[in-house]
Amino acid sequence: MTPPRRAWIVVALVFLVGCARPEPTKGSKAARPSAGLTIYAAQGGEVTDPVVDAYRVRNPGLVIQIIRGGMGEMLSRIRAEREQPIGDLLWGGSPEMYAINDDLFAKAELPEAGHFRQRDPSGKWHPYSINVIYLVVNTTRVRRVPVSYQEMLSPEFRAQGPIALSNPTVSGTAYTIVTSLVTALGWPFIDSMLGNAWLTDSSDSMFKWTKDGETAAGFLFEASLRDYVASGAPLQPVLASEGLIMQSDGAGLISGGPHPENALAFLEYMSSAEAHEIVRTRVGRRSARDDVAPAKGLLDLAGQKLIRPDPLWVGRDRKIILARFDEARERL
Amino acid sequence: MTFAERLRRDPWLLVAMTLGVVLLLLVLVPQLWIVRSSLLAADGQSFTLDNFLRYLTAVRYRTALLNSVALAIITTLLAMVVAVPLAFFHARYRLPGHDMVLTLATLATASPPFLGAYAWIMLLGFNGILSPSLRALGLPWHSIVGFHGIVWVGVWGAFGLAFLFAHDSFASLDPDLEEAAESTGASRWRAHLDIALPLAAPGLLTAAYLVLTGVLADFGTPRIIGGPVSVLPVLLYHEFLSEGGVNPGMASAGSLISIGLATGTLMLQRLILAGRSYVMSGTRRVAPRELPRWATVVVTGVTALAFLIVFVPHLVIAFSSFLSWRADIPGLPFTFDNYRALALRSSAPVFVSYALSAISTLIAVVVGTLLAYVAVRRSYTLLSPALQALTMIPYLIPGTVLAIGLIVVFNREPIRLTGTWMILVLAYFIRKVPYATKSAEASLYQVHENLEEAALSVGATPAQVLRDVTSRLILPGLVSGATLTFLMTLTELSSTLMLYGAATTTMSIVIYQAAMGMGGQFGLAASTAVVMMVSVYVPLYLVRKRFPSTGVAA
Amino acid sequence: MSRGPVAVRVEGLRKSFRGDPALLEVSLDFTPGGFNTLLGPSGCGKTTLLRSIAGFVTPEAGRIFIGGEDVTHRPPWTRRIGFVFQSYALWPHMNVFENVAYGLRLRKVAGTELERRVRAMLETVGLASFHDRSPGALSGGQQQRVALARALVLEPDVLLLDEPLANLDARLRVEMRQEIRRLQKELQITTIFVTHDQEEALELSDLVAVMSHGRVEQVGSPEEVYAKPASADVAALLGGARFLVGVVSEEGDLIVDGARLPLGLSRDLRGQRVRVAVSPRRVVVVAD
Repeated sequence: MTPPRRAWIVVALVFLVGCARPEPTKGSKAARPSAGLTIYAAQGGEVTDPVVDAYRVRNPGLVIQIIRGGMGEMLSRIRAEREQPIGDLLWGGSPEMYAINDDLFAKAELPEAGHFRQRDPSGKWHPYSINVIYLVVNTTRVRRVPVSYQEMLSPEFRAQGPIALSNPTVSGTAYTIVTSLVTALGWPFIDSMLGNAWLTDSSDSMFKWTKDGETAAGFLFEASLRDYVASGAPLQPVLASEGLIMQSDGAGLISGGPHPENALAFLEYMSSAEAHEIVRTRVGRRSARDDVAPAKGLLDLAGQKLIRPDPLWVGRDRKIILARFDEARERL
Repeated sequence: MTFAERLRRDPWLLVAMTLGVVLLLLVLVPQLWIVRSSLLAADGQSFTLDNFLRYLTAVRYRTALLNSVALAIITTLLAMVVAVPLAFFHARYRLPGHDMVLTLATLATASPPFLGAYAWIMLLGFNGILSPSLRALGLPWHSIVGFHGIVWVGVWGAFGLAFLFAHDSFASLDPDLEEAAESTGASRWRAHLDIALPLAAPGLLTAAYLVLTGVLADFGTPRIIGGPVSVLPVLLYHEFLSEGGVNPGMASAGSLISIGLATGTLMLQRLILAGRSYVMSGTRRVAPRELPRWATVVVTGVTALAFLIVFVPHLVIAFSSFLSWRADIPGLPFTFDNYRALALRSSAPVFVSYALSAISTLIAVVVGTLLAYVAVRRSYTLLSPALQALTMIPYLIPGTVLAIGLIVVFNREPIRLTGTWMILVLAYFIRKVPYATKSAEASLYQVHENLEEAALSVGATPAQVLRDVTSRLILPGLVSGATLTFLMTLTELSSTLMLYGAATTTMSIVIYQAAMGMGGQFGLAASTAVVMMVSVYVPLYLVRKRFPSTGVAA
Repeated sequence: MSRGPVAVRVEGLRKSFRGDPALLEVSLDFTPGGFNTLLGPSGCGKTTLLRSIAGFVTPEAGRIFIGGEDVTHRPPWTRRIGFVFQSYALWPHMNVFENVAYGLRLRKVAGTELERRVRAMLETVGLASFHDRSPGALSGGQQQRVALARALVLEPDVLLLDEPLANLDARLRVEMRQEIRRLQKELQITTIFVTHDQEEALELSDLVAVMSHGRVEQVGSPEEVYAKPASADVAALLGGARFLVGVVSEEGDLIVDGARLPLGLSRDLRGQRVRVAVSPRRVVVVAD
């Protein structure tokens, strides 16, 4: 056989193999199966899998598809697919994100809603877990752990390296951090911090730089801190005297999704005591329910000072806050 | 001549027109909304040029823009400085391991993206494997994270491409030309500088252009190793995908600026080459000459060192795939766990990647060949420049932006493609058409038009000419071009991120998610990356053996 | 040949390339069944004219007639032409047989008929045993014969040759041009031959069209054009050649007025009365 002919055969074979793969149901043609659920997860598998697996056991006929990505990507996807949504549920994100994009989500009333401290008046965001965001120092860069945020800006610590911070304009995590710090210490603190900060648009970068020691300090979720430290990362949290930063994340029903009933059922399960026991034991996060203890390795918050920004200010004045932040950056 | 007569006379006109329409719909239309939204003010109602102006006035945007331009220029210059002389020696002088060198260079061009950056951080990050030792030795080493890191990874990432292009340019020079110079008294080195270098200019400038625009559009490397250095593609990525629902006006304006920069570079290249004649008659290859022994040793040594650096990331990733990973931190003992995880959970993406790449490559090669034919053999007043522009545009659009354009256009009745394999194939095809076209053009230039005219003269229609003569003669070049296109598609990430569905998850997605996620699955990323590298390099190697093509497909 | 010799005519042809004029109002009536030559220096438009007749180039104005039919706007693959390129343009991925057979295959000729016709043509050009060679293994002269065979096997209305001898060495050139002339006479095919070599033009042609700067300066028989140049340009082009008319001897000498000139002519011509163009530079006067 001549080389060219062999090449064509190889190509044809690959083509056929490709076509032989089972096709996903194409949205326009397939009858939407009622035994399905598509979750857009802005969370890693370690957060979602234990709960989803338990739900699968309860609902053997249900085909659950999970698409993962960053919060920003998921929101963009949902927005782009608005005319014919593919996702049923968005898992992840703070209440502000849902408020900003509230045209994308549908209201839902969950029976267990009373067990959660935080609530979304519009009924679109449903709390799931609470995460402490620590200022964390990398001990290969700093000689001792500061006792407050303010101390982190002192000449001693400035000399040891920059602080990693993500961009509140694009990151919900950073927005929480900035609003909390402003609440506790005012804008001058932010102005000063920006003078010694490595800014990034990606929260993941912030986490990595802190863990790897590219920066002297950064902000990290408590669960990640616990896990990194357990694997030997040289990190120490700052139990700041001004208070700890808290972020809630939750889930919401995507408006117009293909399987609203399945999504609601899942949301209800997600908020149940059983699911949150899994959160405590297998996911290792701090449940947002008031009747569940924090997971192992996480600080017991009883007696800890917590920064509580005014939710009204955080939501309503978002544009002003972001503009002020940008202004601070410009002045550098 | 009436239009119908013209069509009968030259059926390629119809082909060109069809291609024009198809490309217009697939390439231009989805991106038109970018133009539109770039001109919209924050209120979404009025039109303004503010979005563009802010790229010059606002610190955040201006910094990204300036960084991108600086990075592009510096990286390109350095990559050329390293690759061109080495390529020259390998093209014109007899050096050991020549074939191996070309194979390695080809493999280098097909490397999976951004993993290189992560590997270098693993080695030379602040707490990297080598860094503490370097500091212990007294060297003032801090970290590879930062501007210099982007340049370092960029230069070695582009090395393969620059080397291949330069090598090809130098190797296809008519040896008589330099000999003519020497016969008039020029020393051999004078002849090299005055004759070989300028004549190789088209190939070298093309390489420089490709490297430069590649750096301008690269988002993985700066994202990982750039530290606080912000660059345009990453900025755009975040502008579009921000959680805060930011007005896409800035991202759209930035996209157009990116496209403008790349186009400007192209114009510059054209300007430099215009009005000069590079006609070379012979297809004779140069017989390699000998170097003095010491020079051979030095050049071979430097080449070996260069390729070692190029492939360090691959070795590091392969090594790390056998380590135990916990929460993003590697440690002993050695284990096969990462491969077990791959076989159990991630085998489907391997097939998906292959299938999607194969289909889109096939389409890209067919369309690219047709486009190349029109570009090389025809010169229509309006159509030719239009087709050329339409073909190059996808190369200039960041993958993320292209994907969003497609989602917006193809997510409504009657054509709903989002979430299906078809939209991915479409995105890949659009992104790779420029490569396929350039590769086919390179092959076509080597086929003398007389051969086609001879077929016409014995009664073959243009379709028959294409089938019986042209395609046979360019087939080797097409195959190697198709292979490279296939492999680049296999490792594509930025468009895939926006378009994949549960059943169309590719290897790149698996790697990216595991590497960027906080879930500590870098071990899985490493093992998948190794599988991807093997999937890429083995076919590439085999194809090179079968079709040792002379043209640089890249 | 089943048909009689075909008349080829062009009227008022005009063609420019990117503003550069190549043909300016060219009109010519070629001799049917005859050997017509377009003679001129490079850039005079002769190749453009040839390629226009072939159909590779579309003129901006004027008309082209082959066999009385207006083919001006017809694509090359519908014209019944045979074209021999200066570079021979043999398809490298096909052997000699396939190169010659290709045109016939396109016309759905197959099997024994195909075999017969191809082999016969290869025989005619003297390459019968070369049928399975690849073009790369052939010498220049052999490649040219294959090119000729390929063109002629289709029995075209007109044979077009674009400086086919330019890439051959001097001796081969003489041999081949006589070969071409012989074939042409035998097949009685209207031939248009482009060259810048006046020796070739004068020796081979029935009709010579001298071109310069996109125009036809003079048309006529070789004697006319040589003896009565219509302009200084023509005279300059044709200066130097002399004609000797005589009979070819057994050994290939030319017998002129009783004198025996050892010109090394082809044996096939022995006994025939021929006209030989000789450049005076080739004549060496030797003391007896």
